Amino acid sequence: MLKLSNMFSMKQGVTTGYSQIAIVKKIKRQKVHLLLLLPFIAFIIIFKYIPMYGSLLAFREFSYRTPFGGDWVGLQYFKSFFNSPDFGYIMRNTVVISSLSLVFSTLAAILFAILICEVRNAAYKKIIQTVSYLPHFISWVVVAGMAMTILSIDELAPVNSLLLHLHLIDKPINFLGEADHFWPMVTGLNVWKNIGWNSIIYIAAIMSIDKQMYESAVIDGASRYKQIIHITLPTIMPTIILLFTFGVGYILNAGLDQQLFLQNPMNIRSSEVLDTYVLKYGLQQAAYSYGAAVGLFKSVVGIVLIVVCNYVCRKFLKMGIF
Amino acid sequence: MKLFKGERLFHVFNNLFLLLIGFLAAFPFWNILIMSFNEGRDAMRGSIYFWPRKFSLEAYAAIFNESSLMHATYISIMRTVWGTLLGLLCTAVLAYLLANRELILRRSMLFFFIFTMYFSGGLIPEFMLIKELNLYNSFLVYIVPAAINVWNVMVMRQFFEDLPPSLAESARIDGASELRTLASIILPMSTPVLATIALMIGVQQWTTWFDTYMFTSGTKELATLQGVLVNILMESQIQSMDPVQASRLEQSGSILTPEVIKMATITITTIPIVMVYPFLQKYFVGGLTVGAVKG
Repeated sequence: MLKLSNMFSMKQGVTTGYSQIAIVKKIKRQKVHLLLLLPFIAFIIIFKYIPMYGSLLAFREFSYRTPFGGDWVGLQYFKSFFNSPDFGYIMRNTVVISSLSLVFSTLAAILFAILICEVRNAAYKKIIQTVSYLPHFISWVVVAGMAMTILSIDELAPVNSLLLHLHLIDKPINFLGEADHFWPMVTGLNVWKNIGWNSIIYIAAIMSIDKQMYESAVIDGASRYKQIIHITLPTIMPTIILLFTFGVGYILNAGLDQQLFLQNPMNIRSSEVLDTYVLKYGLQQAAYSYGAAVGLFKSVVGIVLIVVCNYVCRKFLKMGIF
Repeated sequence: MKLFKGERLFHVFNNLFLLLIGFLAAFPFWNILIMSFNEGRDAMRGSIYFWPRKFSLEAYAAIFNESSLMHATYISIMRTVWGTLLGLLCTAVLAYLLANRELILRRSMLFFFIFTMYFSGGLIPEFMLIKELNLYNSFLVYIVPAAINVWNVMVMRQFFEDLPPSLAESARIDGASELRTLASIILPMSTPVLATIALMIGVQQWTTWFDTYMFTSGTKELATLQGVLVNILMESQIQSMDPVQASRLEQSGSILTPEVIKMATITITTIPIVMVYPFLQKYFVGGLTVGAVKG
């Protein structure tokens, strides 16, 4: 997943100083190679670049005769989105939900990685790790189905009955049916689903730290806690910052599934995000041009954020993803 | 190494804390599993946490008798098998072609592919495209658009680039064709990355519901297990908020409730994944972190 510094670096293989004849020779030599590449290029053009062209529908009136719209209407649909009463709270929800998820998932994964690396019993370590990956492999449909049962308002449902027994609450919490509980709940579920999987990269980074650093720290009398603060954390910090910065780049992707399945009329003011909005207005209500405008807005802001984040990482960390 | 007293205490707490995390990760699965084996009306009384109270296979019997659910299972299996095979084949070939450092216009070529990872046309134009290509309401819509995931291609390309180039070189000198080199030299050495990518594609195919929802009109022939689960979930949510429905259920006297059917369906969709991923663990952990350590 993450070849941190040079996975996408395109600095290798730059061809300079070739004469035309050499290029022709090269093409001839790579004839089979290039022929094999053609179907893939065609595939990408059809399934990726044509929809990009199609997003111009945002500037056009929808028509049944041409797939990507007819008459040009300029910025009309963008204006109506920005001026609509929905714009404010949808942007707020999108940014808040993905920021909460990013911050807490990152912290949880780092903590989990540090603690699991301290375990001495290899079998125990392996079992905990394996179990921790489990939630990553299931769909949000399943997570939502589980959440509805386990977080149910019923005072005999697992979480509420536990909290009641511990006298932490007086009456059952309506996790699913109250707008105020949506953000904490969905953040909790995001952390639950991602903690194991996200820790893989941090565990690898910790394992690659030179053991001698710890040994000399022990000789100097550093405690376990001091070792974590002064050796482990600083060494994996570049990895953390890089992944975090790119998380910021994806801030408008709050995720479609979790919001859609956990959404209901009671919590809609806290749970509607850009993706669910496009689905509802753009497709279900067939406001195609409007939906395309919202989608294009999201894509453009997304790529600007990614380029900026990459620039920041390159400048300050001397690493980036492209 | 001798442990200080504080150290030992730390290890005890650490192990207990991790046990708690493991428990939190696994408990929901266990809870759903045992609920699905409990009698439906009895389960509505609640407080079933670790073990079924009234054991019953009714929910599974109902599911296996319901032909639409069996068909959905069949479609899910088919799309996972064919989707993974096609996806893995395309990913491997494309990754191999792009891993060639001598490739003409390599930088532009890579940009052409990588750009699509960060910018997309969005939902609506994709929907229009699928309709234009006549893929709407066809089984192919499950496997063709998903055949190439550029992200996976880049992971595999990185792996291929890290293999010693002399291997492919010597095969070419011996007169082996491109695909021959890939099949007989490169792929046998690439088990970790192949297993990782196969798992990624397979899980994606098995768990996605979105293409069923977007690109089919909801016909029974193309319904997948996840799609059925979404419907059950939506219905049970509406029912739980509707007192009329609930009381009707109360009076009907059936021991089955939509709730246990939901649990059983969740269990059926989850079990195949639980059975597979622990065995691929060593591959995907290695496959994912190959770059992190060096980078």
